[in-house]
Amino acid sequence: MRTRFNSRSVGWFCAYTPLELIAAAGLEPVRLFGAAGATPTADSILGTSMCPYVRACLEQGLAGPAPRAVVVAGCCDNLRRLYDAWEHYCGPDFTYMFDVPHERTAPALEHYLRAIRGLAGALEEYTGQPVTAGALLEAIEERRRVEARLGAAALEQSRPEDRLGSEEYMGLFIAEQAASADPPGGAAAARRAGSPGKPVVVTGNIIRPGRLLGVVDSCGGAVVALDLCSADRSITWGPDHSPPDAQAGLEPLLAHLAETYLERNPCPRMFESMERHQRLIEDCRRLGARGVIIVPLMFCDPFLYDLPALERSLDGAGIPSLVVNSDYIDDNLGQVLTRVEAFMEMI
Amino acid sequence: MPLVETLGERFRTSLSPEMLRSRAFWKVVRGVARSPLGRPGSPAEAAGLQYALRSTSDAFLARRPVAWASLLFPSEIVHGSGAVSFYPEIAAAVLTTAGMGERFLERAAAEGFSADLCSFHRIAIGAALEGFLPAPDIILSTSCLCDSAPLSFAGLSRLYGVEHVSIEVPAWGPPAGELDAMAGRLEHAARLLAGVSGSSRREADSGIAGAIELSNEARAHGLRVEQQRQGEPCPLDGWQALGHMAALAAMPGTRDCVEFYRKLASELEKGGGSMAPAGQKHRLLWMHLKPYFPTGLPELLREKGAVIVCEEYNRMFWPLMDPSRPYHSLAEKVLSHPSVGPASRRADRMVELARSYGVDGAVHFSHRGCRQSSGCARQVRDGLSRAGIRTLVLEGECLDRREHSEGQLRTRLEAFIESL
Repeated sequence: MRTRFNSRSVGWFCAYTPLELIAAAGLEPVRLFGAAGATPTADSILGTSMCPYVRACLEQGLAGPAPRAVVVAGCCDNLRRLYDAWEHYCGPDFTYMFDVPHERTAPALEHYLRAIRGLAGALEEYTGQPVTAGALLEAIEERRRVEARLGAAALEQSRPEDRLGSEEYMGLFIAEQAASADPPGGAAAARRAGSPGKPVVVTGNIIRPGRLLGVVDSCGGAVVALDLCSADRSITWGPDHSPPDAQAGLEPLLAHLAETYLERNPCPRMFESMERHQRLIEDCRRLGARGVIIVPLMFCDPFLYDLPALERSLDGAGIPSLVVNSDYIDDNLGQVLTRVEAFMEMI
Repeated sequence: MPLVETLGERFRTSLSPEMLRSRAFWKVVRGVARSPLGRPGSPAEAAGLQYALRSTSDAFLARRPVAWASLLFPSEIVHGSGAVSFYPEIAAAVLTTAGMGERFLERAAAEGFSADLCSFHRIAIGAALEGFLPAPDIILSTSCLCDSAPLSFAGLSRLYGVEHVSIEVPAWGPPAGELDAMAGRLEHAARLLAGVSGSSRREADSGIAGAIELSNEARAHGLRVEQQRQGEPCPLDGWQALGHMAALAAMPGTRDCVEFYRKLASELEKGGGSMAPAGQKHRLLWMHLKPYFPTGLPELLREKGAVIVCEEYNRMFWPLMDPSRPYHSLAEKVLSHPSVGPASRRADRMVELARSYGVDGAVHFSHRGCRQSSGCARQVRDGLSRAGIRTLVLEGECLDRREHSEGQLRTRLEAFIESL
């Protein structure tokens, strides 16, 4: 996957990054998916017991191509250490890290609002331009239009006659997030809309495009929902959201932004994990999914602490699940293929 | 098998959750701890052990409301509120030292918890599932030092059906207003704790102010300990001192903590007695923690004349607190920890420590499951190297003995000490 970067590109990593604010500062948010292949230099800096996505991103930062500016949501220890390493070893023009609370209480919302106020100030300092209410509202509206298109694609994915191959479907999100010059694809992308298959939901944090999902398709699975922070879970704005008018100034818009991001479908790092499980179960029932494939990244503490409870929740709802651990590189998929095949036969 | 080991093995296999909830059991254990067989040689350590046993038995016997807390949650709030504190991360280290860690690691694995997770928390989870931890009335955590405490405690709060209060620590140079907000969250936790303990707001505020005064007193004695260890020869080896982490995390705010540090300071001012390492050639700074199961590493250090004179985590890292501003003071205490904030801050702190203790070298023990510390070990090492301090990053495991590679660690540590 080739990604275009320019002097206005700002790299981001975590779905709790308010992209609208970066756009309102006149910059272009671009999600990084990391270097392809091994990550020897990043490993020597971070150690090998760290999140492989983070290591792949640091390798990209060191070897390029990479943007000159990055914004890091301090969502987990792995990302906090990525921030440190990026700032220290990659020689960027701009790095900024902000806190993200673990829950949706009123103090947590205040904490997050203060954090994104800080981000707005840092972006203003970097660009030398103020972030105005008008620009933020415009960025929010643009984001809503993009997400409405992605939401429509998600709806189509639930219908057998319109369904895309899973890599093709994920490619819609990736292309939008990474400003990719060539949307990802592999063997799976060759699948055509309407292909038959057993409906499954895939859940996880982030999956490298063009690798693991193709296995699900090739084993006779039809992915009806991709509960990933790089796919369905990246949709923040629902049709019911109505941001305040720009006339009221920047502060109400920032407050609305903070509230909207904290209210979204939660990542496993949030304490509302039982709500996430319930949403997943409801999605499975609504979409007629016959099972869930869970793809945790190695060394992802938030996901791994939640994993046993997630399996119990699915089991309690009578939904079969399969755990496929990912090292993000996912270049040795033989064993995965066997396990997914067996799972597909079982469900 | 020698008699002591045989008895120990029998004790471990026969220990049950029911025994831990029996008064007779704790009476026997406390008796043994007072006897020559179980009493530590150091008066300070003997006092610390008595406190730990009293506090743990109170928790198991539910004599007072039980508050679980993570390592960086200020214990002054718990003690001031009249609850008994219990620190699952410390309990995990104690269980490992007692030879019971593996059992609970296996229980956590059977439940589906990945071996990639921190072994402190896997043992705590396994022990909780097996009924080997006292049931909490409330669970308290901070978002620093690491993700593991708030995330694993959130799951455990669902297991026990009790409230979990997590204090969000601004991880990145607190923006304006963040100290006030954190103080507010600590006050909120204190109110909830007072509710659990049945204390009035006034009683709790007064109790916490009193706990802060005691904490200040303990800190003053702790600084005497640090002053002694800055001198040559160092009267206390850090491998032993890392066993005092419980005193630093769980005891501040109690009279016992004052006594522990007062006695320790007095012992060290008299030369440290049996605690003073002999033949000191190399002074070391030790970062993060150590293996808590039996290992030959401390003997290797002794053989090579290396003494750990300072431990990153085992210091009075916070400023004097103001009892009239209890929650702001406690927020400042948490934020003072060297691991709060960017890695560059931690590296700078380690350079300051290395210089003030006059060390010849530093060791960063990179615990396998610890992203927050291991992930910036290289940066800390680079910072120390720029300051002319040779540093070894030693990858290892604190509690999961199955992941421990004694030979490899020995070889690397030995080569490092010889290079100093």
